[in-house]
Amino acid sequence: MPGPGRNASQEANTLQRTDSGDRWYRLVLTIAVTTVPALLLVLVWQLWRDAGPAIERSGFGFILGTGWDPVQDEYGAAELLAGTVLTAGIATGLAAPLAIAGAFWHEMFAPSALRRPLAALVDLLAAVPGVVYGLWGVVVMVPWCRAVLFPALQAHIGWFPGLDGIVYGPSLLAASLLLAVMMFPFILVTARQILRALPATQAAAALALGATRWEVARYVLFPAARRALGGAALLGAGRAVGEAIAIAMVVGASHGPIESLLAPGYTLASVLPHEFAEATSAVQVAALSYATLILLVVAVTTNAVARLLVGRSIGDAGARR
Amino acid sequence: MSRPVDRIGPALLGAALLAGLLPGVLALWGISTRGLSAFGAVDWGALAPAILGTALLTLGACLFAVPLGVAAGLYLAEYPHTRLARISRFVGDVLGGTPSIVIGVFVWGWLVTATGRFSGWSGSVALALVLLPLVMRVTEAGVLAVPVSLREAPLVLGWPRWRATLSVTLRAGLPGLSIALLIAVARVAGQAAPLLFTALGNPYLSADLREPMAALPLTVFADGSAPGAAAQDRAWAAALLLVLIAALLGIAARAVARREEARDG
Repeated sequence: MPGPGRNASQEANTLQRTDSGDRWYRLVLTIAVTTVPALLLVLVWQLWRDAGPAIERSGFGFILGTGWDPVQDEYGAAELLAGTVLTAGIATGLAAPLAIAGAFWHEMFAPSALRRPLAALVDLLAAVPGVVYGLWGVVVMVPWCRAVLFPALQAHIGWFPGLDGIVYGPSLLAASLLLAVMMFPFILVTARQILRALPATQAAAALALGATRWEVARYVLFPAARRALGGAALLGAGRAVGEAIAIAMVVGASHGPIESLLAPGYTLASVLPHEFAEATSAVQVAALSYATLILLVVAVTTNAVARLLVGRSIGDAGARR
Repeated sequence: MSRPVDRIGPALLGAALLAGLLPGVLALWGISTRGLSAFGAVDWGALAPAILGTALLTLGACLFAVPLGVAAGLYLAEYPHTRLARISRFVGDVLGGTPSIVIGVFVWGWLVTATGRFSGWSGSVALALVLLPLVMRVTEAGVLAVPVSLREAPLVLGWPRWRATLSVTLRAGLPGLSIALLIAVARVAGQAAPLLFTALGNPYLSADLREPMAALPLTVFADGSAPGAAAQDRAWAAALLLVLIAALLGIAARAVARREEARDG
């Protein structure tokens, strides 16, 4: 039975009051929220276990090992990792500058009648599923690349490393281009959110001092947002690293050393849709699980760094109000 | 008193936007035209398993992820500064960017090998794991969007916290929250990667979640790479359906956001 003294202190502190309902409430919510970090731990643990045979066989050497031979059961992830880094790097290099420039135009210079329709279009492009981009890529983009773009690249800037050899349609470069198309709206949306989250006072002060809108964008907003915009590009790169289906449809699905960007290749993520369900030996399944684990580590690291740069207030394109 | 750079600079930025948008718009155009002609040509009977499958798999995913994710999001909003909240928030953000194919492989190793079969349930669980961090985040944002005065008013009246949240805060935030949830769900419904090694796909009409199950994204992936006009038609029709779902929800979200903007001033 609560004494009168305790009652009084409860009265004085209504916001802190707890009843048994609130204790249960907090318990249920705590259990629910704990599943999220637990999920990440279980994820890593499970993949580690599935990769066991491959880890026993080649240890950390797997990461830098080359070759992918289901007949001899010899596997290495270096070429897959290189494919991932190359495609994600090229895609980010193409998409991020355009998207960030586009975000500045959208926020600072777009006619107001154009803003809403433009935002709707970009949101829609960001919401189109990867597999749909993949279909468009394999049916429309890749034949165009083979017939028009790649020969033109060879003719004009053929000296550029990686643009030599036979022109195939499905290739690492086709995968990079498709990724860039997919990343552009995503980075643009994120960059716009970053610009909108900047305090308005500095820009207003600069405008009041007679600065042009260009000067405000260039000398006030850009320096203030630089770090976060870098984070937005990195968030895009993290997505590119993890995109499996769309890349699997256009990358050409070929193991081996990377000789040309115009030749078929593979990435860590895109090897899975083609090979995981059809893996023939336990060691191959383990090797693919090991590759998945490496993919997870790369993606989580990229995302974590990007998150630290971007800051918490910026949501990702899919989960916004 | 503008210098040339004041005109050339913005023009360059606009040109960058156009250049970046062009391929995406071309893709959207290609999907729409090819999808529309496929709508006329496709054998809808052959597409029905995928439509039903996507509906069931997505519903199943919501069954797991929405209660859990909403509760987790409520925790973040109610007890924002605890260590558990800070860790979960960060991990949730990171998981939100985790490749969904990783989730697919994980659920394969966890459920499919344990039960010895591909099944609709395992596909639902995989989608749910992709959905969970998204639900958590939109719930937290939805609660925080409700004015603090409104959130605390019932506490001042002596209501317990759980009742204040469930009957005042959530009700006030419901329009925005539900549309954000729908968008998150639609985004997950379009994912093929979590389903490849779990639901697997099924050419026959089946509502049995214990059996392999078809899904629209799986149809786009499998039939898109298959030869033959019938398969191509199925792939394009499924692709356009997925885009239409995303577009409709986008429009709905805009309508709700505009209404709330008008209400809040």
